[in-house]
Amino acid sequence: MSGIASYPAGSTQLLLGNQAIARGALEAGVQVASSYPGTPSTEIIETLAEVAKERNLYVEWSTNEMVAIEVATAASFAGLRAINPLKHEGMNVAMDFLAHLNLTGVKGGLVVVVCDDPQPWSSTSENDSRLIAKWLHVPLLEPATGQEALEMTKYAFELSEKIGNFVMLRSCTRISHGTSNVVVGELPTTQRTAKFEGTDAPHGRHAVILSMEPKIQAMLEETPFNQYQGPEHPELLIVASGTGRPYSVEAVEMLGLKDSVGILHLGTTWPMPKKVIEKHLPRTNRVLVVEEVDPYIESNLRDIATDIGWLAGERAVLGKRSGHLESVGELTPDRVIGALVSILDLEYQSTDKEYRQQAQAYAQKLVSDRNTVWCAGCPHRGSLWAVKQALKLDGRDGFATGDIGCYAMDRRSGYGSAKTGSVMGAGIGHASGFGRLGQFGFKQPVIALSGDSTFFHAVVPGLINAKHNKANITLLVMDNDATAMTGDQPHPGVSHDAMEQEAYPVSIEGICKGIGVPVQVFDPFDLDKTVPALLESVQTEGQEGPRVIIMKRPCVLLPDQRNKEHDYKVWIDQSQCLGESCGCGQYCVRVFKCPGLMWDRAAGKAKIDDASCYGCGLCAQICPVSAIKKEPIHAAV
Amino acid sequence: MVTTAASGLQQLQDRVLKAGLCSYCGACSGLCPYLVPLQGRMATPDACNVTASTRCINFCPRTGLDMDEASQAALGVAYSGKPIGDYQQIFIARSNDPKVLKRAQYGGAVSVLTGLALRLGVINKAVLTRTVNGVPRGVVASSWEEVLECGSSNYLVSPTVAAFNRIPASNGAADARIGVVGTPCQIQALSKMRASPLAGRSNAPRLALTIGLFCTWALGHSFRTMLAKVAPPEQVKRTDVPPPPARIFVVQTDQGKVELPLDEVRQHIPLACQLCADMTAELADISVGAAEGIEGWNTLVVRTKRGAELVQAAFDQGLLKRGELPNESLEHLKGASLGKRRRAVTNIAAKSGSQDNLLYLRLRPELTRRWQGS
Amino acid sequence: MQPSKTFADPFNMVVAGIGGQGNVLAARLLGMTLTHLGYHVSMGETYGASQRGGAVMSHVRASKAHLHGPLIPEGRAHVVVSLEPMETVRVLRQYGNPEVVCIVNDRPVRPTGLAGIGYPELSSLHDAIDALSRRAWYVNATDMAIKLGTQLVSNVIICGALVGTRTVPITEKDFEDTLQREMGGRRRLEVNLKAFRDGIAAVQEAAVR
Ligand SMILES: Cc1cc2nc3c(=O)[nH]c(=O)nc-3n(C[C@H](O)[C@H](O)[C@H](O)COP(=O)(O)OP(=O)(O)OC[C@H]3O[C@@H](n4cnc5c(N)ncnc54)[C@H](O)[C@@H]3O)c2cc1C
Ligand code: SF4
Ligand code: SF4
Repeated sequence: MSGIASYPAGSTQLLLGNQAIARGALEAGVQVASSYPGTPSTEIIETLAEVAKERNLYVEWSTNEMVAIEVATAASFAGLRAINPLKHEGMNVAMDFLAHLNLTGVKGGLVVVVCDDPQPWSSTSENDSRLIAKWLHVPLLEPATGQEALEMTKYAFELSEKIGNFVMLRSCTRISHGTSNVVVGELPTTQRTAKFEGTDAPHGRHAVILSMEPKIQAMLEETPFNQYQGPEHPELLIVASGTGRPYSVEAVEMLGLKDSVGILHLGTTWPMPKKVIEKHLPRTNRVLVVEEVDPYIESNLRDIATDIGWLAGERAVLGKRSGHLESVGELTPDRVIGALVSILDLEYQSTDKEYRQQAQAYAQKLVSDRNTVWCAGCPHRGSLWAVKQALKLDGRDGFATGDIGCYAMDRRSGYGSAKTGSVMGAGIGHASGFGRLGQFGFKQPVIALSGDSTFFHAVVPGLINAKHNKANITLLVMDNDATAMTGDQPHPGVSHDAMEQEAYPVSIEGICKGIGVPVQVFDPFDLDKTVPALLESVQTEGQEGPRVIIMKRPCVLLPDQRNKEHDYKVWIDQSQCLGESCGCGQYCVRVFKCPGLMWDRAAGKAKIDDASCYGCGLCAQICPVSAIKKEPIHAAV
Repeated sequence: MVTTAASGLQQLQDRVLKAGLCSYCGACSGLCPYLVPLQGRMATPDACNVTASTRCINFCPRTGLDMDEASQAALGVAYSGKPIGDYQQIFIARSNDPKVLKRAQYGGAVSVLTGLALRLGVINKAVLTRTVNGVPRGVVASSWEEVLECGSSNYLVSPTVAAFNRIPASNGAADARIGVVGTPCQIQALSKMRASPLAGRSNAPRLALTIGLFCTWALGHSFRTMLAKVAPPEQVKRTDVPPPPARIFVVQTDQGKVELPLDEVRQHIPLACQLCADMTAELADISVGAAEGIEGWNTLVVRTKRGAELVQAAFDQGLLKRGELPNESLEHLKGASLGKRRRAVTNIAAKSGSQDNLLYLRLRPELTRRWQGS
Repeated sequence: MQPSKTFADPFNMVVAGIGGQGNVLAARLLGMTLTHLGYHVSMGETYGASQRGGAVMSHVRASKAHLHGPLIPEGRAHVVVSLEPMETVRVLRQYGNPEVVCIVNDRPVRPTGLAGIGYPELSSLHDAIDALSRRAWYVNATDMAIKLGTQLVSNVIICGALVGTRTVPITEKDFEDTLQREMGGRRRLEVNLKAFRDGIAAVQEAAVR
């Protein structure tokens, strides 16, 4: 036995929140799991995939989130328990289907785990997915710790089967990517057999699910997930969910407020546990709501407080709407401390003032930003370099429409060709639209960017649209054999699946050809070929319809690439290097910017950083005076 | 290191490229990755950060061209401003070789002299202009065959000097003796490079011969679209502008001759050419153009001793046939040259908004007055 | 040998570095050891872009009383373990206090791009770290790791240095037990044990000097 399946019942483990969710699902007897990779949700599937074989699970990285939820639902329709973890942005993709599934209902327990990413650390948007549960009238659970993540996941499956609908579990980065002690439970010893017997048609079912809500509410009131700790009549009642609970507990302890501030932890937040709230509100005159992202509980609580007539006179519900907590960015212990300090009019210093000022001063002088950058040896550096060269050489203010993947770094730390970048598939969609603005005087060339995984996820419909509607654009597909951004998961183009079993590799080139789009395939490190090819493509004036250029080279973080020997020994002949003078101007370190290159300040010349260089030799192609030398390590290369 | 001064490239962009002064001679290019000649325009894919002693602004004739300094560096004398510049001899000539005549624009004098200079060792590398796919670009020739492949004129602007810059300074090129065939703006660029304090960081010290081409104007690359409608680039054998009163542009293709109305062709003349005051490549060792009304012959203007020696050797070896330039033709040539100067200073003043501001062109005041007045 | 002094509760450690340096693993090994010792351990990590040259920070929190949240409140770190000198200052700005101690891998990793050309002098980083901590230990873990044949173990060398300073409630044996449990493969275990012991030796030498 391995991974999370190997932990004996009752043992204490140190688990990532996502691992706790996976273990909870396993303990609940989950049989099918499907998803599309997305930080911070990815490890749930990865953890389950690891034990898929020995636990006889079916675990899949699907083409996109909508397909993933449909796949998981099939299992549920057939009576099995299934889990579908997503990041908040993936939730939007799945919504089209989910907004009907709530009406259809499910059979086997189906749990949709949505991992929000406040701040956002690894996303383009900061959304609060909890509003979806309210909108779809499905139950919502919010764990506050790893232990609770495990327990709630287990409970969610039971609840789902009891009510015949899916259940949402809302995590967030600090829960999913937080690690803590978790006591694990028993794993089941039997599995269900899959058999499908039809489902209800969605229309006309709105009334049914509405009528369910009070019943669900009653069930949730009974759970151990809503708990009060604190004095009988606190001066202030904190209502907290998710990370808000541990932060509140710590803030109360640090400020010595145990006798005057109580904490009501809400773990079930749709339908709101009205009775629980009715019971605890009268303890106090002031409530502070502590939650991640939107004032969701805060607003619902106000409704209840108004309904029961509590909210009157000097009583108040405080939180984000009152400005005591910020609505933007993630919750932190310090934000909770700040809210308490201001509400209760306390004195608090995180450290003494002089120290803080000194630390600020040093940091300002010495610490610079570390933009995330493409790795040394990354194929994207070659691809986006060619994009920049082609667009700039063309000189008509051309641009790239970005998409989601490592190549999105072009916008901030790369070469700046990408001017848009929001959701998967938007790049080609935008390009298709730009490509039809000619009649309004639009003349700029457009290159849509796509990764390989992105191509399957959402680019194909956009490409078909561009072809059908004759949009004159170029689509660049950077095929690096993996879903790199989230940690190199497989996608439909590679020949193995999430469970490391053989899978059918769908050809990107084949799809393009099928659509009738001309395709060229290059090695992104062959700049002599890629720059002219891209230039030619963006200059095909008057040509109708898109052209596809595929750049093929594996991600350097793939295990076999990471461990392989370097292709080249690369060094810089400093006697030839022009350095800061005319003719170069630090072209390699300043413009090309590979982390394998560094500036030798003493010599005033460039130098290879042996600790970072990947030995790909790409930089040797761009040095204006060929001072960067490369020599194949194996004669065969 | 924080510097606020604009980089050389930034200055070049502001003062020349964006200002529409660039003649696409190529003098700023071939020295670094930041200036790439493409399709009639200097492309600038990246921002440069070098602020001190940058060659691009120092070599570009359009950041400022002091005619006295340039003339001194090229011909050894201050600029006289005579109608077709200073010269020792003027006559007409043509090649004796039918193969050359078949390939060359007119009399093939340029090709013959270049080939001879290579053979005699006066030079060991010739920077010429070759057309590939309809697009002219600078190439380095070192054999007669390579010279002949460059025969005939392409009327599109060409970044030929970039090829001169690209000849490596090391790898035995230290003893290179380079000859360049170019339009007046290209010869001006080479002269400015010779006069520059940064000459030592260029190939200027290795420049051993310049052959200038007469030029009234060249065409921007937008003309390619117009030409492509007549014939695909690979089928175009030769293009020519017959002297007035014919108002046509002749395109010879595999299928025969096509005439384009000259007025339409002239729409493609870049602004930079309209600001150029030199028709006869006044700073070259030898200048060569058509012999008006005498088909298949060239007019040759010999300006320097080394030019005279090379021409003499060509006659001695029977490679060129010599003829007299009719006086009437000489007067006509002078008139045309003065006309170009006058148009240039008028256009420049119109652009700068002042008679006293000639933008890049630096002339002694009496010359300025004379050109403006006449 | 049992560390004699009592430690703060919760005990807060920040493990900082650059994506790819292995600080997440280092934090995990420390967290596992503390779990084994009966602490309630919680850890918060900021990764996601961890492989790509970004600043990466893990919070490791241990308490005998109860489980804490994954984030350390500002100014409340007891120990900063840093795999990169500049990162130490970044962490101190937010979590430092006059009593904090630092264990620093003294090998700079430049931020790429223009900023990388201007990495500060190492000595000015030392000045800052010394001024902002009660005590700081500097170990060139990267070079030591390269000597052991793999840069990957610089994180474990730093863990050794940390344990060697006796500023954490972890003994040598505690951590070695964790390595025994977690490092599959005899060679992998051996090189990690060696790395750990080298780290201890490095700070003890420094302390003698
Ligand atoms: C843009 C342009 C405009 C011209 N305008 C006039 C004019 O108004 N009046 C006139 O009398 N003559 C003009 N000429 C010159 C003329 O066309 C012949 O080049 C010249 O007479 C030499 O003829 P040839 O038979 O000796 O040339 P060839 O022996 O055929 O040699 C021609 C040479 O021209 C060079 N060349 C070709 N195209 C270009 C170019 N775009 N830029 C730089 N070099 C080039 C090649 O390197 C080749 O060596 C012009 C030439 C050009 C390129
Ligand atoms: S690009 Fe070449 S010449 Fe310029 S700094 Fe780098 S190595 Fe030196
Ligand atoms: S005129 Fe010549 S040197 Fe000046 S910018 Fe144009 S091509 Fe460069």
